[in-house]
Amino acid sequence: MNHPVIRPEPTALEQAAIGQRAHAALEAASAGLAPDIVFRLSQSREKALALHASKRRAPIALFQLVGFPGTGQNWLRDVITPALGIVLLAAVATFAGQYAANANHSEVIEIDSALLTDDLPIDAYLDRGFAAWVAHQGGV
Amino acid sequence: MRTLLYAISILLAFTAAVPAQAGEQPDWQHLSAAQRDVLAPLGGDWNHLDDDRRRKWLELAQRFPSMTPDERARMRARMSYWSSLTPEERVEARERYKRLQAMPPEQREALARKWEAYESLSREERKRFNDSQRPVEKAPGAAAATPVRK
Repeated sequence: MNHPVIRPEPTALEQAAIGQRAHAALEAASAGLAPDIVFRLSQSREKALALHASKRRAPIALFQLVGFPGTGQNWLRDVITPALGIVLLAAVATFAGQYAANANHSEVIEIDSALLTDDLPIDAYLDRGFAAWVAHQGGV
Repeated sequence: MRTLLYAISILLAFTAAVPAQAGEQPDWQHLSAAQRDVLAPLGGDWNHLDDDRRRKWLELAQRFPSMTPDERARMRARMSYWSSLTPEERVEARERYKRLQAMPPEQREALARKWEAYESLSREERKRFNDSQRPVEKAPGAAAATPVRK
């Protein structure tokens, strides 16, 4: 009774040597292949390489989507930076508007206070003819 | 990113430095006794004033203690008249005040005397100068009658 021979698993070095021998044999044999077979082999190779590349890109694309460090991109930063810029501009605009309103309010209070306590009565500032008369007198 | 955070921090600091817009202002019965004393001429109308005008009067009232007796008397005498003017009239008075402030000090001081001289002009002469100026545009619904002169 023949028992199957259990061979040990080839080492990485042996696997590489086998691959190189197979490659050399295939290269030598391919010289005599018909053109249509060469074409079909070429297409199959391209498909296999494309499939391999897409499998490798998938996790990287996922990492890029969530901004995983080391993937060269960070969508969080790309989104937040312009958003912060917009918020900053809005805040500057609000601040400028508030500052202008407060400055105007302070000026109004200052003038109202003067009008209410001035030597000249309020009517002098309301009378259009008085200003014209003062100008006519050479006062303004 | 760090620059943005610095910029926002500085902005927030500036914003905190600017006084916030006042909100609702108190009704007459919620004013302090001192405020009611200063603003007594407005007592009857106070609760009908909007928050912005209440806020202005309260700020003016804060200045009252630092005024001279003459200034206090003038302010008390003019408060209800000033409050009765239309917003357009108040704006026009402020603009004329600013223009007259641009005069040389010696001419500015003479304005009170000039006003007396102007008041002594005949009605026709005053009308002639009055008509030479562009009329004040009244706001829709504003009181048509000229307020009592003060």
